[in-house]
Amino acid sequence: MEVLILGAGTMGKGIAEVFAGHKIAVTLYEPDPAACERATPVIEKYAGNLSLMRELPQSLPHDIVIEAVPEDLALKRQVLADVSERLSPESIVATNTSALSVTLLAQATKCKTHFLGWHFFNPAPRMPLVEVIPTVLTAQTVVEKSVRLLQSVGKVPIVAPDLPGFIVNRVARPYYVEALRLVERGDISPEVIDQLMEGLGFRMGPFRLMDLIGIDVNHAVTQRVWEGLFYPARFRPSWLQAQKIAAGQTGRKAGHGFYEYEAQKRL
Amino acid sequence: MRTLVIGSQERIEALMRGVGQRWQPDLWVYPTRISPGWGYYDVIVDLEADERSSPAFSVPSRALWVLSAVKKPLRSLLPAPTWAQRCIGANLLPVFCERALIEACALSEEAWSAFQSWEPQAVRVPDSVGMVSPRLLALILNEALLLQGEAALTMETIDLAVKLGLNYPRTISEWGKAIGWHHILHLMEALQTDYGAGTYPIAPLLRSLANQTILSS
Repeated sequence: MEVLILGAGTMGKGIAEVFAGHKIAVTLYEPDPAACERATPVIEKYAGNLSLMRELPQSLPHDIVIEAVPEDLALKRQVLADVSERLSPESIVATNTSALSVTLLAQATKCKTHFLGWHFFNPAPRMPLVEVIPTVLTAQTVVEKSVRLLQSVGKVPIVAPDLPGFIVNRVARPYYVEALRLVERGDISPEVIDQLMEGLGFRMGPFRLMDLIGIDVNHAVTQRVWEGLFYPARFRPSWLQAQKIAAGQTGRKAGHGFYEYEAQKRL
Repeated sequence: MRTLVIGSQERIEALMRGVGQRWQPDLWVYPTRISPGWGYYDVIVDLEADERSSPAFSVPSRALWVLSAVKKPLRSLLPAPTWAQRCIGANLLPVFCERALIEACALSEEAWSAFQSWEPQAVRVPDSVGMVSPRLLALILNEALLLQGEAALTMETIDLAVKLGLNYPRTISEWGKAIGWHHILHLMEALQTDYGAGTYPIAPLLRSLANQTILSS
C-alpha cells in the first residue's frame, strides 16, 4: 500500500509519521521549499518509508491520498480537484479538515464515492482519535476500509456526521465561546476562568488552550460552525477574539495572546 | 471556627468528599424536626439555598452564611440588601465542591473578607446564574446532547470522542451522572430564564435524562 499526503504542515507531517511509523510507504507532497526544509527532520527519521515529492506527476499510483493543506475551502477544493484527475478510480481520498463541509469538498473531486473526511487531532502521532466523516455519496465499503486501515496504524476511528464541527469541535465550542462571553462582560479575567476549569481536572483552561491552538485558528473554527449551523446565537463568534487577531496577538506562536509569552519566545 | 453544614444526605456526602473535609463541620440533614443551636456556629453552609427556602433568614444567628448560589444568583436569595454583609454565594454542587478550590461570590467586601479568612482557597467570581465552571460544563453537556439528538449518535460515540479527542477529565455521561443530570437541567433552565432560549437552548435529551434521574431517586 502506498499513501500520499498533500501538504507538509504540522498536520501533514504528523499524519505522515503515523503511517511511516507502521512501515507503510508514504510520500509527502509539498511544493513550498520552506515547508520542505522544515519537513527534513521527519523525512530523515523515517527514511526508507517516507519520501518527499515537490511536483505532482501526471499519474498517481497511490492507494490512499490524505489532503492536509491549510484550512481554506477554495484552496482545498482546488488541490482536491487537481489530484483526483491523476488518481485511479479505486484510490481512497481523505480530507483532513477540522470543520469544513466534507460534502462541499467532495463536489470538487472526480471520486465522490471514494472521498471522505479523516479528521486527525494535533499532535497526530500521539492523539489516538480520528473522526471518519463520510458524505451521503461515500461508498460504505470505503468507510469500512478507512476504519480498518486507521485501526491497523493504532488509531481509534469513530464515524462522525458531516455536520459543522463534526463531533469533537462541536461539543468543545461552548468551552471557548461561553468563556469568551464571560470575559467580554468585563467582570472576570481569563486567569480566573482557567484556574477554575483546571481545578476541575481540565489540562488547560479555555484561554490557555486557545493560546496554544492559535486564537485565529480557534476563531475560524467557531466561525465555520456558526455559519454551518445557520447562525445560532449560542455560537456567535467573539469580538474579543477578533480584536486579538486584528492586533496580531494570536497566541503562543505570536508571543502574545490572552497571556504573554515573550520571555518564552526569547528562550 | 464552629461550622455547620445543612443539606440533603446526598449533597452532604458530596461536600464531605471535597472541601468539607477541611471545614470539619457539624452536619445537619435538612429538614428534620430537631433544629441545631444556631447561635453556636460562626459559619453556616446551606448546600441547597438556591433550590428551596433557606433557614438562613428566619433563625437567630449572627453567623456568616455560605449559600449555594448557582441556580439562582446570590442577590436574588437575600430578603434585604443588609444581608449582603454576612452572606456568601458558593458553588456547592456535587463534583464542583469535590475540588480543592471553591468558587464563590459576594455582594460586600466585608462578607468576602470574612469568608476568605475562613476559606483561603476561595476564588471570587461574579454573582450570576451558573457562576463560571458549572455554566461552561452544563453548556458542553447540553451541546453534546443536542448533537446526539440531531445526528442520531450514541452516547458511547460521543464519550469516546470527548475522551480521546479533547482529553477531558471525564466523558459526557460520567460528568452527567456525577453532577446529576437534574442539576444540569435546572441550571440550563435558569440560564434560559435569565438570557433567553436563543443563546441557551435546552437539549430534549437532557430533559429525558434529568427526568430519569428524578424518577429513579
